[in-house]
Amino acid sequence: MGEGMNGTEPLVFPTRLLIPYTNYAGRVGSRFLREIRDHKRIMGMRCPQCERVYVPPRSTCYACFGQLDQWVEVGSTGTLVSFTEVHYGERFHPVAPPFMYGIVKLDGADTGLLHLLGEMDAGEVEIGMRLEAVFAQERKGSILDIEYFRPVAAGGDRGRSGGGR
Amino acid sequence: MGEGNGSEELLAVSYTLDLPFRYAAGPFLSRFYRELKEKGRLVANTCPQCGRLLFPPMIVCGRCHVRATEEFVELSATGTVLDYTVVLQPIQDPTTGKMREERYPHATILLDDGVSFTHRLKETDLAKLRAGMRVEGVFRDQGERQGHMTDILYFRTVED
Repeated sequence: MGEGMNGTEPLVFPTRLLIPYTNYAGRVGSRFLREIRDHKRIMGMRCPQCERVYVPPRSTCYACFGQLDQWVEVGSTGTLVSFTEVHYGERFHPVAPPFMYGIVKLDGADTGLLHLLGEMDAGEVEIGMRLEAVFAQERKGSILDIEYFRPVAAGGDRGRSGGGR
Repeated sequence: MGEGNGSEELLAVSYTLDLPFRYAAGPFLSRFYRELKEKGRLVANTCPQCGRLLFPPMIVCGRCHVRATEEFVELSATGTVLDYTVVLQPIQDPTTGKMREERYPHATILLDDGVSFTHRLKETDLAKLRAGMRVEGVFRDQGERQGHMTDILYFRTVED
């Protein structure tokens, strides 16, 4: 043969992986999601020793390793701790780009909740700004039962709200 | 607040991650697949230093780290089973995302030209499988071949 490789057009193969997943929320995570779905209520878990309130709730305190069972309701309003703007679409993102993720420390919580930011442009976002949860009309028992967090309208911030009831 | 009593509703989220991607074969492997598709034959190139056959064809000899030749030689599709396993748990075909059929023997085959690779065997009777058995590749017909390892359907047993 020996005609060299320059005349060889490289082949490209389309390939595909389908990976089925089931993520189980567990007892604590299930209750967290049920409260949002059924009552638009965001619940946290309080550690009686170090007094941290975890949102999302956890069954074990990561600081003192205690088993946790003190449920507390936190606000559906909170403060923006951090954010990023996403321009590149990936299939695991729940929405198409461009969009923003934020970490929201809800009123009464000591930890941040990762969620989508909405009803604002990237230029308007500021760390420390006040946000409120927008609940989905049709709620199915997933974290997307909160659609996103939006800026609290001027004068509309009740500090610690009762979670949309 | 009381924790559940066993009848509480537990939630799960199910979804399928769909990952399409493209695999570029490069010039040497492309040549290999083209020979397979158009002529129904297996080819290898050689290392100019140690002289061994590189199969599937490679641009560099992995032992000598020198650029391999661009001369290709045809290989015989007959060989000997070195070892084998029987796949009972179906796995996904990465070209389609679909599950493969269950239960097929997968073997390391030493071709008569002295190179080895893995492929499936036609024989599914466990009693008839053995290391050392003689096999030959069965290719798809011209026109049905796509330039892919599945252009070899399987290796069938050759009676001694």
